Amino acid sequence: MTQTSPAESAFDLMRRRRFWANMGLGALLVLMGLVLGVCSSCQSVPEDTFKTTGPLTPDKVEDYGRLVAEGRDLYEAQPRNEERLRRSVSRFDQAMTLKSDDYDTLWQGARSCAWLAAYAGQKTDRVEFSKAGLRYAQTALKVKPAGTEGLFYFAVLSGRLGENDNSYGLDAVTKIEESCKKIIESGADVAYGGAHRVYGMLLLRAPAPPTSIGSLRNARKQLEAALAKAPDWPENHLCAAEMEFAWAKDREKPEFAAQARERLQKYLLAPEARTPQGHEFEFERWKEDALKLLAENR
Amino acid sequence: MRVFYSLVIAAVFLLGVGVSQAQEAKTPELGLSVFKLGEVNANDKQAGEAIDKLAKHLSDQVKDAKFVRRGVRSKPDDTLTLLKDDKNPTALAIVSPGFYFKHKDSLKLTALAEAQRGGFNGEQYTLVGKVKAEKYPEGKKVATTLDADPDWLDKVVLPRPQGAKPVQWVHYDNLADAGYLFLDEPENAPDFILLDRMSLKVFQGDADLKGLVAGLSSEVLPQDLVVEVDGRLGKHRDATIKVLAELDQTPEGKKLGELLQTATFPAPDEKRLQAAAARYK
Repeated sequence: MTQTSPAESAFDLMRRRRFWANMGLGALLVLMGLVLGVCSSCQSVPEDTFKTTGPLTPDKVEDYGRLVAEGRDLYEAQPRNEERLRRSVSRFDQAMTLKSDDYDTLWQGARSCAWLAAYAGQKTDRVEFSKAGLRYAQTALKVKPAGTEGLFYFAVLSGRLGENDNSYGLDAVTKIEESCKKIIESGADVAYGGAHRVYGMLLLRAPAPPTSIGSLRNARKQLEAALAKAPDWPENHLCAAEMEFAWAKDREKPEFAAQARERLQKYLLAPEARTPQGHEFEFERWKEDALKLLAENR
Repeated sequence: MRVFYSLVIAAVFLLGVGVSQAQEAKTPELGLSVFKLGEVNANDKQAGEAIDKLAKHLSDQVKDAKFVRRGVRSKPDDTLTLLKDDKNPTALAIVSPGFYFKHKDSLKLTALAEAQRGGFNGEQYTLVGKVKAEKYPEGKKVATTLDADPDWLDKVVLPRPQGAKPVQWVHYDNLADAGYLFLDEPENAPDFILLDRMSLKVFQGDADLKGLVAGLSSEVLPQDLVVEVDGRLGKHRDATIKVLAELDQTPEGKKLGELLQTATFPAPDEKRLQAAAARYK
């Protein structure tokens, strides 16, 4: 996790905590199904970016600031819902017509799109928001090539695109792996061990080599690293539990299944399991996923 | 007047049905089945869409032919059931060479082409382990995904010298994970892992696995074969062979080849096929 310097004010610290909390969303990559033969025509993840705008003219400074703030506020309002997130993306889209080179705005636009790529009701919309979000993430990376948030949302959105349109699956695997590795190697953290979690879920669900890169052992390493980064983050426990059920089956070690059940209860299902602040909607979804996982692994 | 319209509508309807039936009669379905020995993801749910794509490509390229997927299987018994299903007949199948040799006569299989998976001309298996396998590893545990066809393994891939204690084939869905056991849990690791050419390449490029040592290798063997079942391709046989051999000649075919990890399906290497068949007996 990013360290705070003593010089930082309490306000900065609070703002940063909120900042990271907001990035936790959607990081559970439910991608697979996508590799091997499931890709239907092997398309590349789109690489387009926003057109470069000229300098922000003084009369537009206020408009730009208002649009960005609204986009962010609409994302942060709890509990999140599709209608508000669509409005959030719309504000960011408008802001891009005025200025398209502010890194923070770009990754925040990608984040709103990522939410819709995960939770929009219609599959066609999820595909479109994946592509729209990738444009934000790609542009963010153009501005700041090693930007942690840009890389993270690029990975998440590539996964969402592959999940919702299998023809992007093969390329998505490569893109996710590359982006997550860059974040991990930089030592930065994002979204509560997000890079480890996303990469870990990819390794858990992808087919084995030589078809793809799947490996239960490597998945376990990554998901344990995510837990080490953020031991209380419920999504990390949800992902770790899925890995443990697979491990229990593969290695014939039922104690791992018992451990998975225990962590699902403790961090997601028990009455004392706490909803992380700013993640009311997502926490309910994770609880549903936890119940499904338990039902599949009775 | 109303009666007239009714007759017209009825005539159009009948005509439509007639045309449709005529088209169906003209283009009977040619079933396409795929068997990938030991590949855990070789099933209709995970690989069906890709095989549908191959069926569509063949339908588009072979005049008046309509290929449809019958099924994707990873186990020999399931594949046998699929290929014996007369209600949903398979005309064209991709099968392992062992399956082809075993059921060639009973299912009336004719080898038309050979998959060049990973761009390799022929398959070659290599034993890797902590130590170099210099000779037949008598009585050792060898990890493989191919254990559902022990005849193929024992007679062709790693022929057992007379009097030697047979190797113990141990099934792993994921050979990379079997390789990591040498590092993480040596007490639970197999003695060796049997790798195909593509997997060996993966091992050689993996930071943790490249330290394992490659030893004894098999002869160069046939890869998976494209076979015709019971002459069911009929007049479409030659065109089908041509389309498969020229898969990498069009942009669409290239994309499909990437998806299948097989750029092209040239004619089988007869010499190689006969040599393997002789051992398999």
